[in-house]
Amino acid sequence: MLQRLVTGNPQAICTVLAFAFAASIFFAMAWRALRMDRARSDRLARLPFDSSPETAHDQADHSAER
Amino acid sequence: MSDGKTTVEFNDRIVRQFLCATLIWGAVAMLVGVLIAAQLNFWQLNFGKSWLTWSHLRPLHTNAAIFAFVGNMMFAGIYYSTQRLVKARLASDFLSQFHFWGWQAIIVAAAATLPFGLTRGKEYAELIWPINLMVVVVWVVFGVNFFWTLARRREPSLYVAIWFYIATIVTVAMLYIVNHLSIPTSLTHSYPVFGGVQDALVQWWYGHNAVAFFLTTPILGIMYYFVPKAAERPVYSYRLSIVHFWSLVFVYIWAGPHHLLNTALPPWLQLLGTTFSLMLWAPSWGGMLNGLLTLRGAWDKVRTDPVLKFFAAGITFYGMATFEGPLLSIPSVNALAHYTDWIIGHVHAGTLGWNGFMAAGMTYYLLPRLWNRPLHSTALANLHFWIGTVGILLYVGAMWTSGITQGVMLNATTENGTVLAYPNFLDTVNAIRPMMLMRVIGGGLYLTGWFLLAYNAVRTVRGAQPVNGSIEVSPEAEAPDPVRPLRVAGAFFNPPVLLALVGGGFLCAWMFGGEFVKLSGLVGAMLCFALAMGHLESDGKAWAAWYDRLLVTALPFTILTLVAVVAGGLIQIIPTVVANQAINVEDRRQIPYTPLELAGRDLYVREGCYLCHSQMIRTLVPDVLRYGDYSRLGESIYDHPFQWGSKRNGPDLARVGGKYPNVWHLRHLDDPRAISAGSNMPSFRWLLDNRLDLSTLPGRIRVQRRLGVPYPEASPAEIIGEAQGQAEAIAADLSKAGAPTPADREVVALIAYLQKLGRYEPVGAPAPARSSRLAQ
Repeated sequence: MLQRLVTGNPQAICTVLAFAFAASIFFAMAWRALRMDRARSDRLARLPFDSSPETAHDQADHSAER
Repeated sequence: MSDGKTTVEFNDRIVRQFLCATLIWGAVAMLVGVLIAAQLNFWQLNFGKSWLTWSHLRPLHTNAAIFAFVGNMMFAGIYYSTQRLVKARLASDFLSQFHFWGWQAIIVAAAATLPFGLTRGKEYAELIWPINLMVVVVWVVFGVNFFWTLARRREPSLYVAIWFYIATIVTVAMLYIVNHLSIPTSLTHSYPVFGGVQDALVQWWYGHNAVAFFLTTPILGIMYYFVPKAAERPVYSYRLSIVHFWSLVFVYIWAGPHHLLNTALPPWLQLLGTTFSLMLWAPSWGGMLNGLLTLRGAWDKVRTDPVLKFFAAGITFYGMATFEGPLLSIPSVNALAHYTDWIIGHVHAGTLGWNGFMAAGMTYYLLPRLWNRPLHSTALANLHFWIGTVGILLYVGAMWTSGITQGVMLNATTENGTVLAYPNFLDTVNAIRPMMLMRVIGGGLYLTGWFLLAYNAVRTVRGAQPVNGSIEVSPEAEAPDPVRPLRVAGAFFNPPVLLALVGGGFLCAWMFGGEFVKLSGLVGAMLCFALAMGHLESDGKAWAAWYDRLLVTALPFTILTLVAVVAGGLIQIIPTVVANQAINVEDRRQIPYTPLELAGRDLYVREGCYLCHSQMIRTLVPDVLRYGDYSRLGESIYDHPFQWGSKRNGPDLARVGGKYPNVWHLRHLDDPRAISAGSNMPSFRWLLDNRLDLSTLPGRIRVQRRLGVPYPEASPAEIIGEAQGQAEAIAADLSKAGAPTPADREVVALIAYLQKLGRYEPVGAPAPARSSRLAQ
């Protein structure tokens, strides 16, 4: 049943299928991301900053040069 | 606790431990790298010791760089950022410590075995099977600790960095287990279950995705957390990060075959590898731009802050390496670049530029925070940056020049393309010697920079008190997100998932099936597409709600991510395993090795010969002119593991059998320069002294039989007797040629193996008379 893979010539179909697959992922996710609620997107983007304030060490002056 | 607030203290001890391990193992990996780079210039640096020889140290370098250096860095970054993103301490201190000490034990075990030739003979998968089991156990512990922490999280939403970590954990587990499936023959030796072309495909499916899911996705997660924190502004586009994640997860996994272009790998797989590699340009550059644009408005800080400096340069190198990767996957470019130093330059742009600089930036960010003390010297950190940058540029520039020079020379022809312009391989080696020396200097500079970081770190933490971060969590913060999590059944039994799975199944039937199945597959796929579009049109909100809810539900998200990567692997591996078997090969089929040849092959693997010599003559005119008829798929079908190689520091050996007399090989292995003036190959003198151990052969042949190699039933005495008989014949020939050698030396078995390379039988022709009864 897989004989076509051994002997066949894939140039005509493989690239088209691969492109269609990847393009569908790109477009579906781009469509979904673009339709994402802006407030929700902004909230998610700020998650790394939500853990503040941490203990004093997070505010330590770590740029001091000796 | 006050006003109902709870204080959560993070487990930052584990972060400090992994960070220290990163500094130490990073130095070790780079030090070994500089040594082996120098050995390629000065063969004397092999010191005539087997465990210090280039081919024994090279796996140590790659494994140390990938698993010890980047592995420890990744764990530090994941543990630090995850706790803060989910507002929860790591679930188990015990599991965290088990993870740390288990991983260090694996690294030490690797360092104690690889230099002594204990290897599986597959790149980046060299570790012997007991260590493989340790890796699986420790990785599972890591996964349990991570997902348990997610289950206890106080922040319902999963930030995009967490998505990248989830993809890393599940995909690396899958890749590692499949590519390390082996049958042991002893405590330190095993044969992989896949052979020949199947092993080649599985190996590079693993090898490529080790780069993708060990060296890239976790570091992208780290980028999405640490770059915004260091720049003190959110990621440029959270939406773009979503597209970046899903595109990488769906596309990356397919691109492995680009490591096997122009070889005997079936053409459809090569094409798949090329096409998907080219499509990786889009998500990779989207991610790079997202990282760099996060620095918008903070570019003035880049001039002074070493953390941002390293991050900006690291992300730029990510963009450069991910531009170069697809470029090298174009078959005509690959014909020039493959097997040359261009590939070495490419991977070091990624490892030193992307991984190394992200590790440095993260370390400079974490040191003051984990020890509550300012960095000892910002000036020293800036010096590290510039020394490292110059080092990388020298290294990569030298390797580009070297690779292109060697590729052009090896492919150059005269007389209207019928005669090689440089028939002596050594001409090309000597032409690139200045560039190889430049690489040593570049690598040395980079290593110097790393030592500066280590010194800066020691001075920063000396006498400082380690501190653990903590946050106060109010009950409101634990209130449910407006988007409710999915239940398990609801995650899978819904139109988007079911239609995608059924549609994918129909597409596979269309692609791989016979006439009727093919037609049914096409009709079914079209029907699924129509149904999906119809349902999306009528109930699009339900689709959107399902997706939004999926993003706050860790388990279904993880399973569906795994399905996405499994699909890409299975569609390549299943047809290859089913169709490309010895029974189906056309044209030519490999003649199984005699017992002595098999023993010699095991020595070839032990000595790491495959790291410098390929056994794959590509379907390219210069390859055929130089090495002989191109390699057929069936000619290595019984090779467990396959030995096609990925780099030619020396010539291809696929058809070296019978090309030279036995004594030529003996003298070449003893002193390569006595045969090939100017060669940089190390001496393998110990092979002439070591006694050959034949006692393990019956067990190894028994395993080969289980793997499908057509050896007849034979008693241990018959197997050993056969091997001794062939060894005595070779020893007699050596003696006749003026190089008396006892028959029980390892070199005799290796010569037997080398003389077998390139021997095959035509498929369909009557079986020729063979010298070995056991090879019938």
